[in-house]
Amino acid sequence: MPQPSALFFDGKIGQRHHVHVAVGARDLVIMGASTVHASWPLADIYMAAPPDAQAELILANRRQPNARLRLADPEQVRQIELAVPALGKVVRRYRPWRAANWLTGLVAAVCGVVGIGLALDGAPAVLAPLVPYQLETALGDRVMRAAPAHLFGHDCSNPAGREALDALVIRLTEAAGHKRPIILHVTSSRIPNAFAIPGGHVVLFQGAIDGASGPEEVAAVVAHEIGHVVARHSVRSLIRELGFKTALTLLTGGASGDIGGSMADYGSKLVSLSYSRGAEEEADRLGIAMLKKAGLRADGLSKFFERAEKFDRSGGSATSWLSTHPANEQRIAANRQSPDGEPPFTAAQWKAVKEICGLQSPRK
Amino acid sequence: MNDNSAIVSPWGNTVPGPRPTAPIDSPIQAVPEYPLVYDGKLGELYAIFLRNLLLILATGGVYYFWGKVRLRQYLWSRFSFLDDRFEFSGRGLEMFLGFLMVIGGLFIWGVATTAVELSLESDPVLNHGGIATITFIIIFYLAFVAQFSAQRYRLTRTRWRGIGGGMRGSSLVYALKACLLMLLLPISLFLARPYVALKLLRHRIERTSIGDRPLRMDYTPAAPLLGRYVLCGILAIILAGVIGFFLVQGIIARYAPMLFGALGFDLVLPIVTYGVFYLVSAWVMASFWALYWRHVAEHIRWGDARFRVSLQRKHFARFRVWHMLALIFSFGLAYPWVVHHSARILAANVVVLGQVDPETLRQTDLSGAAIGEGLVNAFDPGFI
Repeated sequence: MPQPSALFFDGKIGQRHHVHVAVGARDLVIMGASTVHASWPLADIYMAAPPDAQAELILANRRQPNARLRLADPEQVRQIELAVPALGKVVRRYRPWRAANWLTGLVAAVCGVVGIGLALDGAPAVLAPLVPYQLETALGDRVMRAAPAHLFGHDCSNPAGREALDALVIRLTEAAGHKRPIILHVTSSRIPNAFAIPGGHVVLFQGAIDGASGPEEVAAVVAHEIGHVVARHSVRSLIRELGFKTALTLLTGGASGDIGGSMADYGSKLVSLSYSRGAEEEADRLGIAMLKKAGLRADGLSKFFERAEKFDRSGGSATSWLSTHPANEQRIAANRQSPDGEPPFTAAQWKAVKEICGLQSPRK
Repeated sequence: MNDNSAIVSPWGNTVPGPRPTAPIDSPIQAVPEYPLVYDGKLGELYAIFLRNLLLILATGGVYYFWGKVRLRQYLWSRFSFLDDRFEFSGRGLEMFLGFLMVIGGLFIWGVATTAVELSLESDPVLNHGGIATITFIIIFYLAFVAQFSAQRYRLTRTRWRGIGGGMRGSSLVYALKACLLMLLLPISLFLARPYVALKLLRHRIERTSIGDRPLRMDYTPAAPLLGRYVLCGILAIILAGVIGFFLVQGIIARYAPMLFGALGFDLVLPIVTYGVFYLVSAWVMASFWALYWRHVAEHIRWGDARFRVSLQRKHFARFRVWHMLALIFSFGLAYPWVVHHSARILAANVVVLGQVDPETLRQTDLSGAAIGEGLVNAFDPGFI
């Protein structure tokens, strides 16, 4: 009888059994001084813990999931590695990686990051059409209901002005080939601002009409916002932020916590900031195409940016509209158009639009 | 950050045990002492960590759970007791599924509440506030569910000499008890903190078994902890207030906008303010937590064995402050070092006393939790 060279635990009790191990053709036989403790089929053997520097092996077997065999004799470990090929692979895997493996891993990691980046970049445009329009409408209605009066001002509904603007909206919507209704709201805020809200709502502040050099400027701003609606930018940016947060959650394994959460907010703000630049340029393009197709003057947009630039330089408050938009100079240059085409309003209509919020004299 | 999560222990947070004030046996008879041994290598931990990192990036994060198993298998197996190594037998797939379940649950909850919110006609701001409050309460509750079930998961997936552990009882009941106890904190101006912590720990310990042998925690009075707690608390408030006021408001409020633009005010300032408050109070409270764990350890028994924990203030300052700073400023790359260092501190300061008698320790009949630690991963319960 050879000397015991291994330790066996039967999985029922924490007692150590000093055993001798014999490797057969099909089985590993675990023998005590006077008794056979177990006979493990070689195919069922796996490593229960990673081997240490002394290559001590702790083995388990699938049929007796709690039993353990602990081997320290290097010769015996080698013998078992040879008899159980699957095991040999596992043991090697736990040894430090070779340079080639690290290099492969590095390349794969770069590919993974780039792949996620591309997916995040392209997915919103693909997914946005899948979002039911009712959901977008419901969301937009809620936003409009919650719109704070102290920021937006009151609704302006001078009938003549409304009629002129509604006619413009219909003309532009038809030119864009957009099948769903677009609801234009004019409110009395004096900030030169306009924005699109999910569900086809476009909000135009009186401030955007007040200082306009002509009707074509107002038409261009409205066309730009309709461009956002047509391209469903609000849904796309919501999907993008959601995707970014999900990806971050996965990458950090769901570690949230306060600092992690703030970092996620910070990241998604940066993402939406850079994204909105691209969306603005697209809305500029769509707006001008819309105006041209409707046969209207398309030179209003660059005029609006010239005015916004002056507003900025005169130290006007940097509104959110301006800060998320590409630099004004760039957009002035990119959107410069010839003054060909019909004016969007007649003189009488333009007067009514300017007085849509009542007869108070517009401030410069 | 969890009370115990800084301590990396094969048995979750149940091992840090008691130091007897009086000798257990008669003074003449020497009480046998059995140390916990850690022999992990920093280089090996880094090899596993970096390999995991690459694979996590390559798989878009999915490998995280398998990587975590790999790291734990290594770490667990480098802890040994009575010359036998521990073993982590969890699987990446079960952790991944647990995570998916939690994320799926949260997603369904989010969709459902949004649908309800949109269909309500009353004041939208009020609706949103109401639903956000309900969501907060539910997550608060689930954080305790996660604490209990994560401990159960670790116990059932840890083996020593082939013997596993487990926990009896319901995580839902525990979470309810925890939520009710938490109500005591504001009522008592947070003076009940040591009492609440002890009460919850005792609830978990009393339901824990290693093999067929349960852990026991005798009645542990909170009174001996109260003086240190109040002293540390007052000091923490004063220090965090002074440092917060001068450093954060004076210096960072001035330079953050210059360095980070408008985001400086919105994001950098709150993060730094919170960070400074956290680190200063954690540094001061380290003294309390060291006393807390030494005190607790005196009252835990496992069969005829007891525990001695000799962790000092400096150790908790390392766990909660220096390790945290190392992680932040290394962008997480210090993680293996933090784990290694914590493991060494733990092993050097935990001793089992008395009769361990592993020859009669039988296998546990407590079945394992099936859904992994997803809950904890998703919520990261932390109240400090």
